[in-house]
Amino acid sequence: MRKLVSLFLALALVFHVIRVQSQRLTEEEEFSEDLLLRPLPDGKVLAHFLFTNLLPPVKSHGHHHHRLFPKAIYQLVQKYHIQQMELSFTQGRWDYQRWGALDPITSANAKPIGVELWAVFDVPKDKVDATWRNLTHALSGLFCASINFLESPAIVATPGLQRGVSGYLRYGALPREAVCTENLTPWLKLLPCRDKAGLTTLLERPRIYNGHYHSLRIHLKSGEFNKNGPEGGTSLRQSLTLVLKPSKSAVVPERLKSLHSNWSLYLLFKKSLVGKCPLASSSQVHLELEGSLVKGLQNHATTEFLFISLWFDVADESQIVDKLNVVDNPGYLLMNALPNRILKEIPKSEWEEEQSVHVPCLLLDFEVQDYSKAYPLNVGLSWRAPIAWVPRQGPFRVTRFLTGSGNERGSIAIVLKANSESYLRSCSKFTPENKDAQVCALDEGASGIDVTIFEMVPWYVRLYFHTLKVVLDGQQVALRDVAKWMRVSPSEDRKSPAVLEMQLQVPYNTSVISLTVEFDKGYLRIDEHPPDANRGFDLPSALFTFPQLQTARSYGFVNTTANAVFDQPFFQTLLEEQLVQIYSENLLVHLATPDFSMPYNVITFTMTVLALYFGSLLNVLRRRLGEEERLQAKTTGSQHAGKLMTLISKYFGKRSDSKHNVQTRTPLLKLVLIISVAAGIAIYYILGL
Amino acid sequence: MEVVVGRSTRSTPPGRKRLLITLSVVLSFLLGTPLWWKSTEVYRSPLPFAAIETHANQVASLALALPCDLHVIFVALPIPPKEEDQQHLQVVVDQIQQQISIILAHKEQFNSSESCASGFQVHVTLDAENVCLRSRSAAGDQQNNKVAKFWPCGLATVDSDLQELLLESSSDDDNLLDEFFWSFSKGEYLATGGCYTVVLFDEDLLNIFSNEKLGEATVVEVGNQVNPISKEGKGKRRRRVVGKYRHAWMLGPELGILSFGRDAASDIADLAVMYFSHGGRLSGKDVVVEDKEESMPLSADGKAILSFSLLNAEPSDWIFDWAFEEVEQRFLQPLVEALWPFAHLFVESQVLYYTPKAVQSHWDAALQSHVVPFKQLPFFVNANEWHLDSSSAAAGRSKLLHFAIYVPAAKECPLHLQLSTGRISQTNGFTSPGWGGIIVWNPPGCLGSSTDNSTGHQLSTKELEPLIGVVVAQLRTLFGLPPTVLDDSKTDTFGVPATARGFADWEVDVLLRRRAVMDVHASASTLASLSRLVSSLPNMVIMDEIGDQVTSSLTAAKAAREHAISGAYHATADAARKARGLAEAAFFQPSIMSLLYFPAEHQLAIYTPFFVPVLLHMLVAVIKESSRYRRERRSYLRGLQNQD
Repeated sequence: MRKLVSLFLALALVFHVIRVQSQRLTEEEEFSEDLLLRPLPDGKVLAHFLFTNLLPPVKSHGHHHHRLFPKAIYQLVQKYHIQQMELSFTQGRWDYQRWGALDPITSANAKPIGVELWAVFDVPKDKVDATWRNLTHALSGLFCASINFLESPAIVATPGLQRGVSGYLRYGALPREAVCTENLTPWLKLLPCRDKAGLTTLLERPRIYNGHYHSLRIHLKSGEFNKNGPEGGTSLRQSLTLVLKPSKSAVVPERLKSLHSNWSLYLLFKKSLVGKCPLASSSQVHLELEGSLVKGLQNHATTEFLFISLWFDVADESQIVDKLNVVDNPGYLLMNALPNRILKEIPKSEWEEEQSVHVPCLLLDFEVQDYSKAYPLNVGLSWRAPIAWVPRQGPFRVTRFLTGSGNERGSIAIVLKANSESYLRSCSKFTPENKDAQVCALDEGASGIDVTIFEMVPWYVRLYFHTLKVVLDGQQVALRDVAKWMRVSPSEDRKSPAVLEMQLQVPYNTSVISLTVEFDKGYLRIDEHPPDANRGFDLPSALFTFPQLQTARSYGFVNTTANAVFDQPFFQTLLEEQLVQIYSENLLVHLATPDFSMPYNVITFTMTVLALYFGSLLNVLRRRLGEEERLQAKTTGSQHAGKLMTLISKYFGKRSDSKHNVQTRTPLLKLVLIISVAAGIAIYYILGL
Repeated sequence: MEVVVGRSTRSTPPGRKRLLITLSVVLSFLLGTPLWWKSTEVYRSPLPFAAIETHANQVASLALALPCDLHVIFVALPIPPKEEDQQHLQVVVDQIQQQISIILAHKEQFNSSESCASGFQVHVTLDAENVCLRSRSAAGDQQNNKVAKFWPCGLATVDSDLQELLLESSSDDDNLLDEFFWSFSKGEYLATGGCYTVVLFDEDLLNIFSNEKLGEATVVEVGNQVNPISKEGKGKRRRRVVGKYRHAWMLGPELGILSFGRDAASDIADLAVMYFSHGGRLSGKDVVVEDKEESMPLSADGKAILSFSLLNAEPSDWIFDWAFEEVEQRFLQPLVEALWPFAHLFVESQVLYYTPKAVQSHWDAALQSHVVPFKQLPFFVNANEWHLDSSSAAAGRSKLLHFAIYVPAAKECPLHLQLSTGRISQTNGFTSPGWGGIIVWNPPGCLGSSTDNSTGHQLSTKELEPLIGVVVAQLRTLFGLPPTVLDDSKTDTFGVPATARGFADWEVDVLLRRRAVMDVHASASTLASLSRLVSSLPNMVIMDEIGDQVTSSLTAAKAAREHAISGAYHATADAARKARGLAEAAFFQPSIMSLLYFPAEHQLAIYTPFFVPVLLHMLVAVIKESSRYRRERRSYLRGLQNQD
């Protein structure tokens, strides 16, 4: 017990130090680059590039000359008084089940498809919208993307209670935006070394765009316009998150082929690292082994295994962590490089420590500056045994879909299914007999799992909020029983989207939560349709957060308990306490697509009818039946009779013998003829439409 | 009703009922036409077409010109006041005026836009110790409260500092003398421009000064030796010095009020026209023939961003940083302030890395350096790798001027630019009109052993000072001035370089005049194009905003014209800039674009299906009815005749 208390104290100290550290103001501009590699259970590899650019506060350190910080971004901050901004370009969907959801990297970098932008401004309230508009235009120029479509307030939300920020927040998403190298190039331009040196040299365009997931992200945080808080510097975090499948190598044993593929930097990127960016204060490659993977490896290692290492001699002490040789073990062999240091995850709380819910993750760090052209860094893993592991998952997985058919109405359904793996549920194991086990993953007093939902729907999908139904495990429950709070802002046609924000609290043992809300499809004007209107309209992803879960992760040296604080921005990023975020899929809604040539058809058709009406009316009005008949009588049989009339009289056959009959009928016939032609045209048009 | 068919007659008059029906239909169409016309009309804010045309004509016939005054001061020893002195001054005024008009007669040499309105108005003051006599024009102005424009008298009486400064005329002392004059005249004349002063020191006066000095001072090293004037005075050379404010002074023979001759008058006139009026570009024969429509690197609203970039071509060799904040405060801020009357400049900076140049240099053994030949210079800028763009410029229509300081890689160091003559450029930089300037800066000692200084160096202000000097010279070139104030030993004319601000006051005046005239011209031509465009496209929607902008632009142009007549330089420049800015804003108003989506063909396509068939019917009906009515009426009349 004393040991536990001392450990707790040590941990408290660590966190205290960390808090101070995270507010550390840099005295000089600082740039650092990091690459995190993590093998994923399905044989793919997560590569997360993080470039951090720190700027000291302007007031104390001169104003606008920067050595490393990109001028363009700084000008944006100054011009639009940005407190925080995040812009992401994403291609591909993050697979929360296989790739994890609970660690800081995945939670922050799993982004919805397309473009997502949110920004917090420190400007007077009436200027927020204008500032946002200008910002979207500036960004679309800067990143060669159509972010300027976000200027329209009809697709921009003002989240009320999310994120807890002091300034004015705006959120917008363009789910249709395609992401390509034209966005990457301007992103690279913001880096001091661009892609000329350092980690960015790995970014071979064909490789990274052939990956399974690609998310380009910019996160900007500035303390300069923080009226209440302390004056802070500006930090720019640029990250690129990729999930790649290593290109085939011949040396995978047959029995492993289905599970893992060996990979190295070269196999992933077709390039190796030859050095750091000379301007970076630190340049590291981190290889992260997930806790569950470590556990699997440990299990494997306990079995009898004799292997003569080919590359390395007897493993030295430092490579053995928790009875696992991290370089060469029965599960895999670390190829081509030895780690400069090995770090171990520090459990977040006493409870985690005690319950050992997670096997700690391991982090193997490689210093890029130790490698050169002659001896490039090409770290990789060569698998020896099939090891199955499951990454840390959030409490729920999310699907969202549309129901209903036709062009008139439908409903949106959101289904959250519980992940059995989630350690949040360890509380549900508690039994009445064992009251002591009430120490929980969650805060004390929490009576269930909290889920926050943020959903933004454009105005042409008209949600009926009164139809919102919540079903827990097949039982419909009243909204007020499960909703902790709820904020609804109905849409206004062409002015603002509908925004639904709510926090649900459900019992621990809930396995399925489903929400449905009905909607009517609105009618768009003809000029509001995009060029390929038949494709349908994408609705942006819904965002789910779990307020009881934070993603911070801290690493310490292996054999000491604590006291290791790394002030590199990479570790600072991991330490930041952020909510676990999960995005749902985009939705594709079909609206009634008009025939775009219709206006002209309608005009032509109506005009023709009008013209016919006018013409015939005029003819009828001025026609002199009696006189014409008399004229006809004078000139019977002569060439004066219209050819058409003679034809018609022939057609009518025998009765045309009597000339008198024909003469009385002809004007009438003419009228009938005209009307029938008009009707024919009309029918033709209607059928044509 | 008995009707006789054929060419026979009829007894009753033909009925008008159907004709009236047909005509009523036609009439209703005619009545409906204005309604239709009105309801399909697009909104067009009324533009003052007549005013625009008048403005354009005014500008074409009589260009805006700012007046200049030339004030000539004779510094003299006490002389007995005489009646005819006043007349004598008038004679001097006339002489100078005449010389100025002679020089201006060769007008094709000059850029007319920067000239003063009708040359100079000359005033002469005789500043003797006991007498302060002004020519009639100056005295007349005195009554019109314009006295503040002129220097006070008393130059001859002040103190011996002036004398000492005058006697030692090295270039350092020119600067001191310049400052002396500035402090002497300070506050006494308006600092807004247009009023120039030439102080004349006669040789005799100087001789007396030097004699006095000899008399006073006991230690003398051959007094006259340091005074080149008295030596050169024999050769009838006059030393002319143009200060960095709005004055110049001349030392030499025949500059006394009595000895004043035509030669001296021509000298003064030359100085005034060449420098004060035209910026000192046209010295002697080597007249640079500039294109008439010389533009300034400024946006329509008179703004420009000076973007300074330090380019580290190869950071793996060395990385340089610079103390730009200090440089900006010390060197650029005064310059920006000096140009503020006509150009609003903003400064920004960045450091870029991995920015190789786009051309290959070659090693020149004779010059012991890597050399970029003259004809390769246009390709020096590497647009792919030099990311010089700025997001603050993208937001407006600002002009961006780049100043790139290029630090070459170790393998091409030292790098020099070769002139077309084959020599190496002294400044090691070049300008590209409208784009900016580039300077190559070679790290010291780069030829020596390869340095292992891959860590950051900071270029200190001291190291940067020569570079900034080149930048200022490049900026002067971009604005159409000589890189440095001319020191012309042929005519013995010297300039005091405006070290602090880069531009002398009188040069700012020249640029201001040119810019103001250009602004007014541009506003007139833009508005004229706008009115042509508007009248040629009757379907174009014209928002009220455009109308307002046009009206305000015209008002501003009118204000500029009025200010120009009264000689208020800054007010003129402000109004002219406003006129141009508003005219451009009106012309580039985005709402004009909406016309693109509603072309005339659409209207034709929409209305033809209705109007053609309906009108066809109507016309046929009208023709038939009226011809029938005429025919029937004729036959009725015939019937009447027959009855008779």
